[in-house]
Amino acid sequence: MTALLIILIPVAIIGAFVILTYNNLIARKNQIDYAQGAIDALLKKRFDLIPNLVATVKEYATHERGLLEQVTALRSRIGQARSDDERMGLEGQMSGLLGRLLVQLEAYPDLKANQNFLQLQATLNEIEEQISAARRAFNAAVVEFNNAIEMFPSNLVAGWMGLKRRQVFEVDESEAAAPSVSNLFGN
Amino acid sequence: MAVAPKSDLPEIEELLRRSRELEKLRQQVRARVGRVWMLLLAGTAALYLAVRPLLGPSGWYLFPAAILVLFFWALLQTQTALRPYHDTYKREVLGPLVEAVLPGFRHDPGAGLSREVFLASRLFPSRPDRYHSEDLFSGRLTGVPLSFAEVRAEEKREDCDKEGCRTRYLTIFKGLLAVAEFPKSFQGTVLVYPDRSEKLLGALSRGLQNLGGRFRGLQLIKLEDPVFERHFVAYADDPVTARYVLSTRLMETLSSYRERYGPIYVSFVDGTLYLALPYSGDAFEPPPLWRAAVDVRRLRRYADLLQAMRDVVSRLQLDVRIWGERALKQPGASGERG
Repeated sequence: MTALLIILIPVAIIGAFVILTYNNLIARKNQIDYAQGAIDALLKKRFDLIPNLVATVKEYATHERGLLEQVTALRSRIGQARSDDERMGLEGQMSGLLGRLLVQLEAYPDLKANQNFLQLQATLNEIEEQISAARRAFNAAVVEFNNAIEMFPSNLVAGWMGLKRRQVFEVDESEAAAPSVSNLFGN
Repeated sequence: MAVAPKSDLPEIEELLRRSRELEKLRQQVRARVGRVWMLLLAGTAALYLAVRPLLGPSGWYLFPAAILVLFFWALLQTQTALRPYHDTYKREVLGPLVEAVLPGFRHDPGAGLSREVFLASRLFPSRPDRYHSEDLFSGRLTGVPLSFAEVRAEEKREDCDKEGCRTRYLTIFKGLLAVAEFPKSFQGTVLVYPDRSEKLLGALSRGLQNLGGRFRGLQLIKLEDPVFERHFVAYADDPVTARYVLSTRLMETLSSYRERYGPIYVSFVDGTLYLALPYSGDAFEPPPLWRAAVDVRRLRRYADLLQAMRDVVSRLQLDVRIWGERALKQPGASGERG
């Protein structure tokens, strides 16, 4: 009886540890998927808004034709992207480009009086903030996940589950750069 | 609440000059209250001496009842005498002080925030058995409607032993509670509490905080700002909403408030912001009758409290509503042109 207990107790402890760690790792993995899903949903929302923005702006902001064409072309490339990595890179560029466009459009008083444009601008700003929040949530989830799969002893279970380290979202250089006033005035 | 830096309010000197009338009133009220209690003492002595000769031994049964009646009469007289003094203090002293610190704000001493507002904040899980709110301040700060009031919420506890049960009231919250419209429209709940356990328990506190989140039906959110994480613990029903509401700038603002003034509780519930600033004293009340009507230290404390509220709300930049109704009501944005 004692010998049986000596065998059963460690087995029960190890079993409980494996189950708890397994569930914990799955929860962390799902958190990443959840944040990724939120980012995708928001990017899709932004993607759908871009034609409206271009249509509203092009009548007023004739000097921004080049920038508008870039936005349209980039949107089309996003639609045709073959991999998630490529798409995410292009979405990063789109954030930077839209930010620049909205700043440039501040110089058009007629446009700023257009209710439709104000509504679009407001919605885009809100979506950008939400994307930024979702990316922060994604990065936090990735850091927790990476810590869990690399730290002992949970790395033993993670190895058995075949879990791999995930990449955090990094801001594209063009997106990270603050809008330059001298660029805006063409100096 | 931690000791706030002294406000440099020249208005206080002006208040002191204007307070001579109030000082006269205080002396009159003090004299009247003194007379009432002297009468009570005299009445008690007279009853003591008269009760036996007039009513015989059975008079002793009436004596405590008569004293009780006299005592309630004295209390009533004191309250009646104090009321004009309190009203004048709030009108003549607090009114100008509020105007100096929060221009355009209305101070309504008798009104408060309802129990429903307190509960809607979701900051304090216990339902108060005794709730009192007074000194309501309302107005617009940088274009945002803001209301705040002094609140005291207590929970009833019964201690029972062999001798019977005793009821006592535990304070759930005492201080200023504020409610304002938050500029970001969202559905959900984000709660931010001062983090006290991490300093004491270190890594163990994470487990306790996780449990705290489950108890509230929310999840513990670990945010990226280490200073914020050191000062606060945040719970939300969704990590993306939590980060949407708690922008890096907002976290910095709350951390700097915490370092400057002391603990603060914040909640964001379906687009509404609630702030709770704990305060141990009884704010916005006149000094006791035996002290000068205008006490500079007391006034500075009140001014600091109002300033703390003003600072935190203005630094939250609640007026920066770049979308929604307010953006569309900008001058020149009223109609389509071209």
